[in-house]
Amino acid sequence: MGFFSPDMEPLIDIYQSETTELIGEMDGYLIRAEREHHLTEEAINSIFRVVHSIKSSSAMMGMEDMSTCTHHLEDLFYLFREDPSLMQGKEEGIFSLLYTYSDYVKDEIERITDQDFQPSQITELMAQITKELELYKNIPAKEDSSEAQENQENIQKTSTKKEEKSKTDTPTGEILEKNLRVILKENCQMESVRAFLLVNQIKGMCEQIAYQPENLEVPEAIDEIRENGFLLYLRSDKARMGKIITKLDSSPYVENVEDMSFDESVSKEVGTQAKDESEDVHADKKEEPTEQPVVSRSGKFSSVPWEKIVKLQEVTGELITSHTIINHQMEKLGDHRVLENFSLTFHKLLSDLEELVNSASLMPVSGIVPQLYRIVRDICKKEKKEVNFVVEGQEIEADKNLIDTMVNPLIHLIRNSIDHGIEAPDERIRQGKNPTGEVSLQVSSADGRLRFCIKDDGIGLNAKEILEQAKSRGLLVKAPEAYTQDEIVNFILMPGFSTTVKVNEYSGRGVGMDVVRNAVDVLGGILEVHSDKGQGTEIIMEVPVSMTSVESIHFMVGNVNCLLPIRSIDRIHSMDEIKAQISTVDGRELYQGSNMLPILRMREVFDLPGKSDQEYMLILQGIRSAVCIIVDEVMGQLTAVEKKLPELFGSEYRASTGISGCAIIGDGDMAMMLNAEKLIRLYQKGLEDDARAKLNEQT
Amino acid sequence: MQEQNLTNKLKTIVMVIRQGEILYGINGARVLEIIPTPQITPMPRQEAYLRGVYNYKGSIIPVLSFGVLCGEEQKSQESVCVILTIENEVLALTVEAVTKLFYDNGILVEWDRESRGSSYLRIIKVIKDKSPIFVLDIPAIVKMLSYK
Repeated sequence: MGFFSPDMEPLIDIYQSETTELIGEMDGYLIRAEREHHLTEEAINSIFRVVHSIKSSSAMMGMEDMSTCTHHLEDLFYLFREDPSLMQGKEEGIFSLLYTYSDYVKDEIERITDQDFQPSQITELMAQITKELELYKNIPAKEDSSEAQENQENIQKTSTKKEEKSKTDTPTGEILEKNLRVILKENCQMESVRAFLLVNQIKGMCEQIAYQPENLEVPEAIDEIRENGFLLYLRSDKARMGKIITKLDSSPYVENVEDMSFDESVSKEVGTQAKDESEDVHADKKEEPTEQPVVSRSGKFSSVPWEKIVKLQEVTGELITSHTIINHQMEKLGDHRVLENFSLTFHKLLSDLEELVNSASLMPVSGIVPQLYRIVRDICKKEKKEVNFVVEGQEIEADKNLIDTMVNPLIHLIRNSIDHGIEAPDERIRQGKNPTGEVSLQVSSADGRLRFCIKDDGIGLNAKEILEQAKSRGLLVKAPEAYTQDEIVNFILMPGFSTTVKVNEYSGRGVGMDVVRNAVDVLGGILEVHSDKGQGTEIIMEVPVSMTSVESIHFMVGNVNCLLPIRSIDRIHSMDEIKAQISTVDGRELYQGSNMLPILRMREVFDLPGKSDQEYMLILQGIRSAVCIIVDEVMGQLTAVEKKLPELFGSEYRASTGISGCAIIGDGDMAMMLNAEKLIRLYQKGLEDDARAKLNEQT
Repeated sequence: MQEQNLTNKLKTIVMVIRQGEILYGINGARVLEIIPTPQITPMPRQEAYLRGVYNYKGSIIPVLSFGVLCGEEQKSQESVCVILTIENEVLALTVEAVTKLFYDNGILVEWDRESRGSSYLRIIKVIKDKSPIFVLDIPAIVKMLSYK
């Protein structure tokens, strides 16, 4: 990477992750504050802490521009922290500034991993911040230097700075003062960063702390630490001093901690930076950044890179596959009870491991909610609409991959709701509606599926226009008057379908619904639209919750090994048993069970000639519909780990075969994992094609 | 990026594949491994140029017949499998033989057949040659073939 020094490159991921989290936190406060037209003291303190952290970490990473403008924003929020009433009447300007700052940080953070990254110009943002500061310029500025870097004086024993105590718990017992020299391990690199992290770890336990070099953000600090060690002056009670020494000793990058008196002149005074940071330690329940690796040595939680979780999932999947193969081989060996016991124990351990790995990959839906609120806010501002956006079910947890996949579809659907659905306030009043539109996202989970429902009380879909467009595109398979309201509105799920004449930066090209449909299709879920003109629209996405392994039924179609998840299978019959219950209507076979169910012959689906002597019927239950499939031989049940199909086998292939992935089975062979929803959809498409052909003949 | 431009830019090796009488070249930088053609699982309704899929180090990758891609009928003599990476995807090509590797400035590189183990890829010496090679743009071919 060109911009960052080799020393800093290992920290880029951590910096990116932590800054993203901080800005997300700030956005959360901001959205709430804008709704209430007021920043609470808690919000002001939290935003101050966020910008302070971003300023420091940006400086550490060499992102001087970001650190500089954040510093000025910190100055502004310092004033608000001292006197929240200063903001009264000026909230709009401050909210606007914070949103601009948030966008700037997000953009920079997104780009920092680019090979050719260069920081953006901050002229406009600085002008905006300066303009806000000007409003308060008659107010006494905060005390000199919240930054150690603003103090350019030589470190003297007698300092002009006011001594301030950091807020800590009430000291107990004898008070000790210690002068320590911390020697870092040779060639540990990033000495100033490691020193900074050490200070962060121990300052909460100190009544007073000072260190040299005082300014850890300048390159010269690294040389000084290498040459002289990192000097610490600490004041704390005896018990906590013991803990501090232990913490320093146990740090993996510390070679030695020497107890000594200062030879150099080191200030005993604490800059406001240390004061503010130690206040923030107590205001903030979040864990401070730690040295690499990022696993914390204290506290109940630790940050683990997502790539490691994914790798753990993959390895667990491979273990489960290996267990399946071992089981298969054992069956061939006959009666081997010792091996059977081993297999049972192994299976139990694997189940426990899988459960742990799956739980580690869970995240609550609330993680994506702030960006949805932000989308709503931005569109409403731009289009001058008023919307009350409500999210229910935020606490529901699901696999992070699944939630990440659903973010874009949700953004598209919410944009559509506001852009095309919710009317302007005047129009809503004319219609006798509340000028503020209602858009809601309801998240729920049941039966191994996650359900997202986006609802609005806007104008709804115009069925007449949709039908006309569908007709002009040759999509009708029966007479127009034969279509129900729901069937008509579901035409909007077709690729590129859009009845809007107004295309703007948010929507209108019919591309958004493609994104939604593709995402749901990849996840093997369903998508439904319900709408009434004038009443609003409801769009439902239901997707199966993905697991590492799936209990499946193994069967054959010709020479092709196939699998279906057990949860999709209602019943299995031998064809000999149920021959009498099969009838043919308009060339299509139907099974008369408790309901009339359509039949798909899998040999025809796979384009395989011939017929097996012994056939079986599997009755599959999808989310809304059912279908029967006829297969050659049912082999039994096994645990399978589904692997993705290569990109060369895209959505059309999957739709035409019902295959969603592959899995390794018993002998190391590969089996096709089928998807019940795809098979149901395949049958329905066949019906539509037949009906369209018939309609064309008649016309 | 055109494969030839990529090769020139990287100054890397070009792998020569013999298919019948014709020599084809592919960007050697894309080659992960060269192995004997493994057990391949055919996929239902697959196109003629596909032989099926293969479990490569835990991922399912497509296996294409190089001969059919070049317009020939599929032959069982494709006993060598070249594992390639294209963008972030991995795929396999079965070919008749891998004969040479050379730098794009025409220097010929041979490999040591004795030390290969399960992989053929070794470079031990460089000699000069000016054989005409048809360098294929594999990413463009694969893009053209991709199912929608």
